Amino acid sequence: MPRNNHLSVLHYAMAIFIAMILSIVQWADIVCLLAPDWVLLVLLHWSLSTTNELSITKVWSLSLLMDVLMGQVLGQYVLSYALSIFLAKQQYKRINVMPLFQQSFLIACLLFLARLVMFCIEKGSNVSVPIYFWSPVLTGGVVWFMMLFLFRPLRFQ
Amino acid sequence: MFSTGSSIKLRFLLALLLAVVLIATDQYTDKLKPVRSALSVLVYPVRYIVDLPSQLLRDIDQQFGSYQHLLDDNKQLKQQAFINNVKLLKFAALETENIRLRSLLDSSFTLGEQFLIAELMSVNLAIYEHTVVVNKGSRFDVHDGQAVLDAHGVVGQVMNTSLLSSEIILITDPNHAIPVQVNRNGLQTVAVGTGKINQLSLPFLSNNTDIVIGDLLVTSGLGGTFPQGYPVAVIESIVKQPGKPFAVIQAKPSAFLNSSREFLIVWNNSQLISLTKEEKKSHAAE
Repeated sequence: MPRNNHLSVLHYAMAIFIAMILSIVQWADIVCLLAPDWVLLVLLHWSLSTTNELSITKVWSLSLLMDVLMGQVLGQYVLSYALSIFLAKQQYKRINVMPLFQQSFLIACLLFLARLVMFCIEKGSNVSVPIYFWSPVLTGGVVWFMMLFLFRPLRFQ
Repeated sequence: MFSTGSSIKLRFLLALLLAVVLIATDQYTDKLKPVRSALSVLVYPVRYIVDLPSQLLRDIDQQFGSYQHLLDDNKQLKQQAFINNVKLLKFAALETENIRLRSLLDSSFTLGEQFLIAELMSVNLAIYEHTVVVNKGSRFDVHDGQAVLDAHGVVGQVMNTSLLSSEIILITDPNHAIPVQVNRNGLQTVAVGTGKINQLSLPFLSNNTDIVIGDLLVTSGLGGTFPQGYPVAVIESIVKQPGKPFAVIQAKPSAFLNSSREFLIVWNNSQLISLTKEEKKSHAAE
């Protein structure tokens, strides 16, 4: 468990704020297609590293903000984020000792699950969803490598 | 660490359940609109920061724009204003003629709209969803369902408002449909968004409809959301399908949907001007 809990929460809060900005900045089309779900990646990382700090209430309220930010049906992000973070928290000990490649694959699976929930909700409200809806799953897994590298000092404090 | 395994599971289950309730409530009622607009104020800083660099760049560009450039701009704008003024001269005459003709037909109509200029703040990145956020909200009395235009045509309508910003659904969103009529012959139909920024589709026209490539579609005013007579799109392709009830017709939106930064939010003057005799007299007196 980290010694300076407070600092860690602050770091994650900043990371989430930046992730929110990244998720609505408009890049070229191709970058937009490939951009991963930044906020979920940060939340997943948080849930794995300092397990007791990321409470359900935080996940719930942050994902509600994401719903508003992305202009989706209220609850869409809440449901998908809560589900994949719950699974991550259930198995956090096992996931933490996995080799990096395997871990990234698992994270991609969790991202896929979150996307699947969103897909079902969007299908339920008759929105047509193109194939590139799924591309953030793959890039998310790739970005996980990079994220681990960046956040490693925080993680082992 | 987890206090007890079962309690955390229970709490997550509760959270999931609550989320499902939220989705259902938001999908089928509009009771959560105030919640959404309150939360929009919370995410406003994020949108503001995203918008900041482009805002700054434009400011800097304005500050350091060369004198010659400003002069040229000024000259061009003066000419444009002159041309527009001359066009408006005729417009007044046409409007009164229209009132006269309508009184012959004994029909009533609406007149006069108010506009508010709003600037683009952010764009929804989900490419199959065409919504944008602009910087005018309920503080300026913007409300849901208002039509939004740019200098070239209809852009969309206001979907959600919060205190400082409002969300606009574009006419090309797959979930949006707009009642239109063909300007040439008054044929009425509905233009549905396709999810492509430069394409609308007209799915409800039969194979033998009188429509040709290049026809201008204008708002028909049916439904009351969009004021009548603003350009929406130009017919781009018509594929007749023998053996099927409807033709496949595509149109290109007139508005510059992916390059406009300024939009006009319209207050439709919904009060009908009825053309009874007293009113005609009072109009003549004016």
